[in-house]
Amino acid sequence: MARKIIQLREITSTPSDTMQLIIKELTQAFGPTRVLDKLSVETGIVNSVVLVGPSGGGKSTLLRILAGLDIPISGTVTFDKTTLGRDEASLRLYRRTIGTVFQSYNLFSHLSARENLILPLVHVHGLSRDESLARVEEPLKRFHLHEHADKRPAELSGGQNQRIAILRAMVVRPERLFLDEPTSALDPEMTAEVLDMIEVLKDSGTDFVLVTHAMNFARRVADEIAFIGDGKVLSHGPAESVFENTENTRVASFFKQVLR
Amino acid sequence: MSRSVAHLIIATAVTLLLILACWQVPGDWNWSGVWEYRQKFFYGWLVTLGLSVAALILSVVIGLVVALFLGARNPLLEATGRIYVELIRGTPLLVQLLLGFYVIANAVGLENRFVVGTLVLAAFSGAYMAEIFRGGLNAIPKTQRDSARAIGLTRWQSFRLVILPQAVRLVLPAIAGQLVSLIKDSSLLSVIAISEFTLNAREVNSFTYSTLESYAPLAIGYLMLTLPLSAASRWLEKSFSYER
Repeated sequence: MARKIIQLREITSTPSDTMQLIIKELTQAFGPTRVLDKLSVETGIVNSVVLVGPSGGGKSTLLRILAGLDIPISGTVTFDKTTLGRDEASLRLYRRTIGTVFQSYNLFSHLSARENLILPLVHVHGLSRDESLARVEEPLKRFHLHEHADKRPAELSGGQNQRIAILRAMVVRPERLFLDEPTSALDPEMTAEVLDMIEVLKDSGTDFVLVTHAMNFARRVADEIAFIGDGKVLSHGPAESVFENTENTRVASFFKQVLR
Repeated sequence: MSRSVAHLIIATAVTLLLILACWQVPGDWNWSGVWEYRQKFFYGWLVTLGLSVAALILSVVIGLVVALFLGARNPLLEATGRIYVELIRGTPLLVQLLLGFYVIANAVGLENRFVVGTLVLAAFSGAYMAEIFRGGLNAIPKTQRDSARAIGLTRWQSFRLVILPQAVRLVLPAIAGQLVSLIKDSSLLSVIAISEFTLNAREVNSFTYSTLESYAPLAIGYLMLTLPLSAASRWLEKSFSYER
């Protein structure tokens, strides 16, 4: 296993070993609706942060801002002392240093799995086509996706699609990964194969921020959990402390519901 | 039975029926009179072919650019695109040709009627293409744009590498239909005295007084232009398809 992990690190090697996320008074609104309301949190120096909480509480909105896809109305996001810009040009440069995986339909439907993987390498990261093809070969084999590499997304299962999407985010060797409910659109079997993959990445030292409803999985992989509700962080800390939080009734009743 | 065999059978049956119907027409046929003008037909056909190919390429470019205008965030660009489409689609091609040649081209000093004809035809067809392209571009899910942004593509890269290839596949059948219309609409260019296929057939008719004999080659000549276009479109559609 140790050897396997070392090999995987070579494929996916992340420049920084840990991350620290500091959010200050983050506010986001769509029309009159305030989705994030002066949300603030400061994590420790960690490898993984998992965002949990009720639907509509602002998790995905927060993740989109963290991933540089949306610009908040006000407030700041700082990763490892670098504060995210507020203009599209600087955010685009930022997005090139990270990887993002959405709930579904991540892959470009007119391209094969392999072409999907090499597209960012060729067009964003300046590798030649041959270099790119060589780079994606090993990860494809590692995650048993090799035989599906020439299929288009419509010919792949949901789980295969999602695993290719995670690989596409990883082959550019991002500083960290953002995953927005990566298993919400999948059946239990496919969910398991995607979660297994995320766990392997975690074991190999990949930093990530994950939004999920899979609570047991969250408990297993999270260095820290932030409970997001009503546009704020209602509880935050190591997994156990958040799961056993009884002070905040909103948090306690949520876990009572989902963990029974 | 394979599809091509089925096509052949039905095409033969239709042809035979048409020939049979012609047989019923009273009076003598005057094919030899028309045959003497075969070079005139051929010349007209070549003019139509040349005009159509030029207008066809230009109209796709116009259609794409105007479609981008229609989808633009800048209200002035959007208004420009919208007014262009409504003006062109709402007025007869005949009027556009006359105005284009005798007023606009005259004003800017453009005298070559072939150039003016091609431009007007392309502008006319481009307005329809623009709406087709706009529909195709809008049909690409937002998640594809999100994905393109997430991997760090620029707006132009995301359009060129992700949105356009998917949209082209969606709009291909409609664009092919519009191109077929364009070829047939080119017959109106005779109003600005371009000696294209239809005008030449009309002239042969007035020389020989053999109406059917003059116009039958016209139908066949246009089919020789439109059928390959349809075939090419079907072939492209097949090679672009990516869903099972």
